Amino acid sequence: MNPRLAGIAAALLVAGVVSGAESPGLPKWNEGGRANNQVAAGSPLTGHEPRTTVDLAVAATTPGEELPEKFRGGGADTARGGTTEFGKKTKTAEKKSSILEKLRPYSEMAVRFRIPAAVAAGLLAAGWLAGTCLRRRVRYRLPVMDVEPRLGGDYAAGVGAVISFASATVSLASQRDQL
Amino acid sequence: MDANAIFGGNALRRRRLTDQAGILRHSERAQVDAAMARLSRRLPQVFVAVHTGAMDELATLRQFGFWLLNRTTFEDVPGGLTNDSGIVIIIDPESKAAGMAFGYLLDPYLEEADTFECLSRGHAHWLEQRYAEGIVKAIGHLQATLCKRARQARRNPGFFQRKVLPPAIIAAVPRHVRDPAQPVGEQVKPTEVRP
Repeated sequence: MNPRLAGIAAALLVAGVVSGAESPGLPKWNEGGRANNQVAAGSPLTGHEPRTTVDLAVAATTPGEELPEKFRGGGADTARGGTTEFGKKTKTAEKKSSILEKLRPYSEMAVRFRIPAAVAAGLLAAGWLAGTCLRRRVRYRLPVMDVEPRLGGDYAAGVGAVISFASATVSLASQRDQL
Repeated sequence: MDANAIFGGNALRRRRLTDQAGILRHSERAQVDAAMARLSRRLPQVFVAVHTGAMDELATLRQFGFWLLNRTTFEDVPGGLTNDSGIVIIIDPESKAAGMAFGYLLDPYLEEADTFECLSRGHAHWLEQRYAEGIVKAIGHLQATLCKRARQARRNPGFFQRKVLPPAIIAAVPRHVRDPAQPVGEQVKPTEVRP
């Protein structure tokens, strides 16, 4: 269902419950024609000032449609000097716009240099990839040194560490060289 | 006790991965084989062999590793390398112990602490009887250590050369360094000191 139509229907229902038969915008069973005429006359599509509840609901759910000053929330509060929700929103919007104004030169610069920046980033990524590939393909050579044979071994006498893995509770360091 | 007396003096022919204890599944053997091949690709002078099996009560892992490297001919060694460029990882699942032995080529580049570091990478896996994963981790760390040593040796070969010098020459080095005109090994006459 169209959300705008759903909003209108909800507003109509609420208005009917709250104001009952006294609302001028609500169509009655026996006054359908007159009510339709009123809606048509007060419709935002016609450009007239909204008078009925239906008009207000339509105006509230129509994007880009401004409500008249007297129907905007907080008009009386502002007159009394209180801070309203609408005022806060306006201030926040002003702040945002001022920040955007300050950042505008940088954003223009970013737009101007976007192609060189993208090229530089691409080159860096390609260089990193090439470096990684080369590092993976590199072969290491250990210089051969003369070692005197020991312990009667023809090929090896290098005896490394021995560890035990019998217990998970005892530390690895204490399981070294236990054998 | 002599290792030959315990394990026998005959020469053996084996593959690099010998799973005598039967602790590795077929897919796990493939993983270990791949790790060994990776190391040999990165370091073409070096190969790794893995042996799993129960040791005799008399034997120790150190003796067995020493004996294995000196007596065994590994059939599938790439490039016909001799055993002095080999590293053997031995795992005994019965006594729950693992050890490492290496040939003369690696004497300047590996210390006992390095081998301990390598084995400790697999320790957590071996505790949970995930032997293949532990072996792969240990070989991976061994590869990283040897690559680092190769880079260091290229920059400063003298550091590793000094590690394998005979003791007599090592004693002479400081004197030689102190007096470059003095030949290595020649006695220096004591200088007369007058009060």
